[in-house]
Amino acid sequence: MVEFVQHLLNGFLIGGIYALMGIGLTLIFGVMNVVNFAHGQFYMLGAFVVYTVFTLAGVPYVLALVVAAMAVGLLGVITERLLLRPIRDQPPDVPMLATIGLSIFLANMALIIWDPTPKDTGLPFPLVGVKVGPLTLTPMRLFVLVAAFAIIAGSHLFLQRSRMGKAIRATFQDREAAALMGVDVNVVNMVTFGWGAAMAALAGGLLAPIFQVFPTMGAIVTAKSFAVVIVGGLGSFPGAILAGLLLGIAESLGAGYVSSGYRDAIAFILIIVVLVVRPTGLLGHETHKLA
Amino acid sequence: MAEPLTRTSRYLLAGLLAIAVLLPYTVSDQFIIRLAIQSGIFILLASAHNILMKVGLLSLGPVAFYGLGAYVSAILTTRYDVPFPVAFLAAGLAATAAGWIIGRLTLRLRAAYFVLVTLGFAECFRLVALNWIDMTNGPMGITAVPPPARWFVGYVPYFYFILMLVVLTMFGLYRMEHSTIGRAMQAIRQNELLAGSVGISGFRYMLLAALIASFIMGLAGSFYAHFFQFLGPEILAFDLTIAIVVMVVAGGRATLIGPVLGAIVFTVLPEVLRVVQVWRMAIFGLLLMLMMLFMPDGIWPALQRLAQRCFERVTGRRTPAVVPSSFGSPSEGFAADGSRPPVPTRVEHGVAPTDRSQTLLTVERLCVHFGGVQAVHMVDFDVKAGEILSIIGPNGAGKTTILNAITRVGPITDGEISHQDALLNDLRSYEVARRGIGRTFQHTSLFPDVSTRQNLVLAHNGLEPESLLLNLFRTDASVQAAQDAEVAADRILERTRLLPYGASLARSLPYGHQRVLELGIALAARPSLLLLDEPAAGLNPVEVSDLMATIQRIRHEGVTVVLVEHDMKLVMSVSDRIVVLDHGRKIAEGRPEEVRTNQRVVEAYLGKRG
Repeated sequence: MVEFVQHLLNGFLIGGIYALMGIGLTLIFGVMNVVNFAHGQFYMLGAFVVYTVFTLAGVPYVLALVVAAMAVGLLGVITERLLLRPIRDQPPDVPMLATIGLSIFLANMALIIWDPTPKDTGLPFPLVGVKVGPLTLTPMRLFVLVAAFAIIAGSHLFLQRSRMGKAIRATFQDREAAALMGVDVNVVNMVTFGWGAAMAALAGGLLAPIFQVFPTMGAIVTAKSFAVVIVGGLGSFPGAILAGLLLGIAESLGAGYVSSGYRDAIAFILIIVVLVVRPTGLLGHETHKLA
Repeated sequence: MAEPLTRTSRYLLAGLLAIAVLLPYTVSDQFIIRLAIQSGIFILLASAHNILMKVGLLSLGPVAFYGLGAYVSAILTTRYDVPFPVAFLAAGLAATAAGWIIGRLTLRLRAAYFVLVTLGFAECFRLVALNWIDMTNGPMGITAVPPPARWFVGYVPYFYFILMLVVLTMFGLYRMEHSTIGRAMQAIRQNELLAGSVGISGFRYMLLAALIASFIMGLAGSFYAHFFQFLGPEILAFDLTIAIVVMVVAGGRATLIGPVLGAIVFTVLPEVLRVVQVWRMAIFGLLLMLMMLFMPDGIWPALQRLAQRCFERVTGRRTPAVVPSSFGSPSEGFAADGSRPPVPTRVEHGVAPTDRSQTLLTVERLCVHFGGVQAVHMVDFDVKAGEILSIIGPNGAGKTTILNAITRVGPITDGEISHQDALLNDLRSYEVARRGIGRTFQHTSLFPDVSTRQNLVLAHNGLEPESLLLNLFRTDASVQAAQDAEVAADRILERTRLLPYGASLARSLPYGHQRVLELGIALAARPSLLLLDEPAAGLNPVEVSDLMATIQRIRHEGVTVVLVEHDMKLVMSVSDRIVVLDHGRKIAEGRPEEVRTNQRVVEAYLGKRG
């Protein structure tokens, strides 16, 4: 029983990170109608920035996270401006292939800059067990859990309360109507893409001290983010959170009780089953986007 | 149409083939032969993948079929001592079966959903190959896969084998492109909704495309396994999918030559880039981005544009803005000697019963609800043969929703719609069209990237049977079908006065002409009942009176017309009867003068007095 709850808790932790990835990806799709294949590379870059700034330069961990979010967010803004905006009116596979190109480019640049050997960032917090009832948690894991959900809550507030958040939601609903109402759609795109990239970077930076950091780690994360977005319903914010947690828990339990070889298959099987049975995802209902 | 190859391209093709056949005798470097064989495999893969692009689908799962074919062939020959020819065929068939199953499950999905579900299948296949160690040997791979025959020594026999496969595949694809299947696929890629309205089933052609593509990929996989004589799960890697997709898109998607060009360039390019070592893949990614930015439709169309510009500069002539066809010679356009086929005098349309007492279409208790919104509620009316029935009402009254329900483009919540005693409820839109019910759409809906004339050819082609064999072997029937479509297109161009614009791109036509072309497209599908959705919207008074005359002429030729329209002058002058809707309910029905004076109708349009 304790083991089961421990798996569940681990699943919750990974799930929170998946949710962070999924929210960014789903908003980028909803607002810009772009399937971003470089999303996992932003995660990888976030982890490497934390490695460089925190481990190599000795800057405090939380500050390193902020640097990672800002640097990768800026990269996202530049990507939107230089790569995606010029091809916005092309058929949807053109921007999709452009992000695949970006993904290959970023992964291989990381390979050149940081070399292929996996890196340990070291722990920013002391390695002691914190007892929560019968369960053991390290301060690091506790921090990841709290930070992930704080970032999600912050994003939610930003979307609901701020002027920019309202503009993003308006564009999400109807791009042309928003433009006619005076929303600067170019700025909305730039903010959405940059912000999604920054969230992915935070996810990478948060997990960096727990797992190892290496240049090719982005691809599988991209695939899992897709699974989260599909299961939650393309373009659904609460769906992405729910699906992220579900995937994290399913993987954690699956690896613990079934087979670790097929752990990565869970994401893909979820994609297939959900799309064949309920193409709009768990919480999505925007059937018009199917066309 | 029957002979789209010009003499120049025939010589060119023969020359290329001769070079290919003689390659092993002119090049002594075995590395180049090996590269040519690899190019051959990729030509097969890219061309097969491109068949899906032809129906407008982007898949990220080609390696699933390639890998399945390779594993089936390798396992059959190594474990069960099955002879190569049997294993080779089994590989193709296994991949086709997988294509059929996956296609049935996923081909109702579109755009991003289809992309991701195909990616999901490919990754599941890879994980199975990696983890089902008893069968696939897992990451260790299957070693000592036998050669196809004992005399397959060195690269040369493999080279001729793959050359044969490539030539056969390209010939088949070429035939397909210039057949009713090719035209139907072109229609689907350009506008799937419109294709359905002229009788073309998007799903069935997409499934056909998936079957052909997966068969070719399965054969390519088998060849790969027996050529390298080793097979590991790397054959299912996502990187390989990317390579295939890049070849198709960079070469020129939905063209015949583009993927071949792309396959050769992107097999050779990484070898050339080996010079730059670690930068190789980074440069590859950068090139892909630059290509999407500056050449999004690919190398082959760009080359064709360049060639056309050179031609214009040399001859000082301007050629009309026709779409480059896959072989460089416009497949549309008139016969080679410049003469036009004679215009037939027979009536094109299905012979409709003109006895007005006969009911053609019955709508009973029709309800269409979207969530809690009753867009249409308990509406009854019928359409009599040979009449012009108008459906009017304020915006949001449910007029278009009814047309969509009849043509099965939109949902039916409850009620029955029957056409000549057959229920339409359970049909799909292309089946409705094949019963002789045509329509136009409220928002302009054309096949935008082909010529005006080709729009009509594609629409006329919609009723042809979907037989693959019939078309591959170019039977008399398929040649006849092509000629019929050409003749019918010219006839409609003439009748709609669009003849001067026959060669112009549909998207470049002025708005008024586009609306006329839409009507022409609907007529090309030979309807006996025609539903028009606001045909006068945005037209100037002269164009409206032209339209009025056209509608009346269509009716005199025996076509029953249902007209949804806001232009009251038009409605009142052409209609035999009028149905008035308000908030999804029928509030009046009758002859124009009855409706005009109906109290409820006046209230619906002008509001209640005091």
